[in-house]
Amino acid sequence: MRRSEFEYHLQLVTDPEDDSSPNATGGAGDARLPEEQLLSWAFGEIGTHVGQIAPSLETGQRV
Amino acid sequence: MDQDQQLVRLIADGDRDAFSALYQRHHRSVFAFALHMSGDRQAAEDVMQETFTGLMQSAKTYDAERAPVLAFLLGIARNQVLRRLRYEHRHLTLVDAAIDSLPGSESTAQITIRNEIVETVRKSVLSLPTHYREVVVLCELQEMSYEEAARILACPVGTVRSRLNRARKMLLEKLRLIRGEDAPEAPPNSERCYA
Repeated sequence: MRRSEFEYHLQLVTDPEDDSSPNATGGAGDARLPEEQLLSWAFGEIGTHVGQIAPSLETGQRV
Repeated sequence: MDQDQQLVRLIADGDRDAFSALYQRHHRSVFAFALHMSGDRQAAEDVMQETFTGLMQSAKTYDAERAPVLAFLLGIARNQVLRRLRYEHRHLTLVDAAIDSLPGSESTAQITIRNEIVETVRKSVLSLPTHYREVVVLCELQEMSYEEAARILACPVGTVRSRLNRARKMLLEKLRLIRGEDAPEAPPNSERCYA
């Protein structure tokens, strides 16, 4: 897991009013809403993980 | 004619090696699409099998002018998924099919929150109406272009764009419910898997 990336998103979620958050300071350079960034991050996590799941060998042999 | 199209042409002539080669090239994409859409591993495996079986039967009718081979395969997979969803009358559920806990260096609380967020999004995607879910799966989870998704779904690019926009708004509404909530306590056993 990319720890710093996750911590950044986590901060956006858990401290939405924190003025020192990366979003507030513009440190991330991303003008999207925190939820939108979080959604994109989650899409990446899900897509990556499911992409690593292989169907069973039995199914492959049946095909 | 690209390599995929050459393989389909050979498959239409009964070439088993060509079928095996095409399967190796695309079975993971078909499986991932079916898994994203159904949330159920066994259903995804069945859809993958039915898709390639369908390819053997329909290879002669494949029209390279209309769509790339992967789009053709995902179109078959989509029909199989939709047929299952209609037959089984299930729009979402399948809550047991959860994302694994991925290894990382965060604390237990961070892992728990991260998994909570990913699980919320995953279940939210599964809860979307089918025509919204499939654009999210194709464009966001499988990172296809609007044009590729439009070919698979047999609809205009503008429809893909508008459905995706609407789907993201629906998902954002669900995500906003997370904000401000305290971190949930770690479950006794956070090891979960597609089963």
